[in-house]
Amino acid sequence: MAVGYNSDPFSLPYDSECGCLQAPGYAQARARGIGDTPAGKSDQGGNTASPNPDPNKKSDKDASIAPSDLLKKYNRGANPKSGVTILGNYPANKVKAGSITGGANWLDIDPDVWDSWSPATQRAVNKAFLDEAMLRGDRFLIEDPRGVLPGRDLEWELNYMRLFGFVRDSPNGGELINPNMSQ
Amino acid sequence: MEQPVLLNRVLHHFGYLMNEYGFSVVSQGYDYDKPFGSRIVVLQSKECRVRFARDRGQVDIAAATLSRPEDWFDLAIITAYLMGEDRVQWEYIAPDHSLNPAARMDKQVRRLADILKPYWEQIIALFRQENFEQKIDDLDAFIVRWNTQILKDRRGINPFG
Repeated sequence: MAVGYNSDPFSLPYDSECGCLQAPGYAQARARGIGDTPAGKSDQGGNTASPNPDPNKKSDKDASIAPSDLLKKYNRGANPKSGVTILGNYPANKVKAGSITGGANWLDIDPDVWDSWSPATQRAVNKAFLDEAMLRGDRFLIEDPRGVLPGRDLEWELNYMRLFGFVRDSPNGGELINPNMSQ
Repeated sequence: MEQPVLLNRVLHHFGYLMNEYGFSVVSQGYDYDKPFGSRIVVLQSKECRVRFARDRGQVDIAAATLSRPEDWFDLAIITAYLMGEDRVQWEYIAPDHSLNPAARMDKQVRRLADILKPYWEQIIALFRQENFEQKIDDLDAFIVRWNTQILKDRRGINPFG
């Protein structure tokens, strides 16, 4: 039997058969607690991006700014009108976004800005990037379906998306689909 | 001009690739607003290519053949494949935020250099053109297993953890 999530932020039941949460849909999940809280603070579900004390919190000047505002300010890969969001790691996500007619939305924060943020702010911004794309109803493509790397951000992103019922279209698939929602 | 930290740390910790395996730094055009070496570093020998990429505070490492120079395979997967075991040999770690950004990067690059040192002869042999063409189908099949079986247990990882 598969292992369930240790703490379910949205109180959604975990289905060990499909390895996903039985999300009734993103809008409902959002209504149950996902919110655009300031980056360094806990959301309604009691979750912060990092459960550990943040040693850099004092130096994170952006910690009090809403993640969506940080995205607007810093994400150079923003292309919300494209309707396509690329998940994955640099530079493959950039290459993939550039290969799509009309471009695509991808997360591209200046590395020096990113490094100046606390882990909580970083995770909150990454989360906001995914949340906004889900709310728009974007199509989600994986930059390199060849292999998901343990410990990398893509693995985290796929685990996060699974909270809302998104799964890969096949074991090596390059797209995320949500069987609970009409595509 | 000061050398970008990523390039500097790669040259320092992966000096053995230059000294023992004939790699040298080659320019690459991904850094559209940053100096070369701050976000991407590519090394190349007469046999294959190795790329270091910096994304969201993490540094990853991949290899490619000379004939398909942008078809990168991450070495976390490649080392598992080379060991012939359906399990994760090592994984990337979160940046250590108790350190300053330069020291965080140094720690990651040094760790990769230490982990990968025993594997280089096999890695280079695999990415040698004639070998790679023979192995690609087997490698692709391994990656399917990786995505289905090997990572299955990790699906329970709490993304908020």
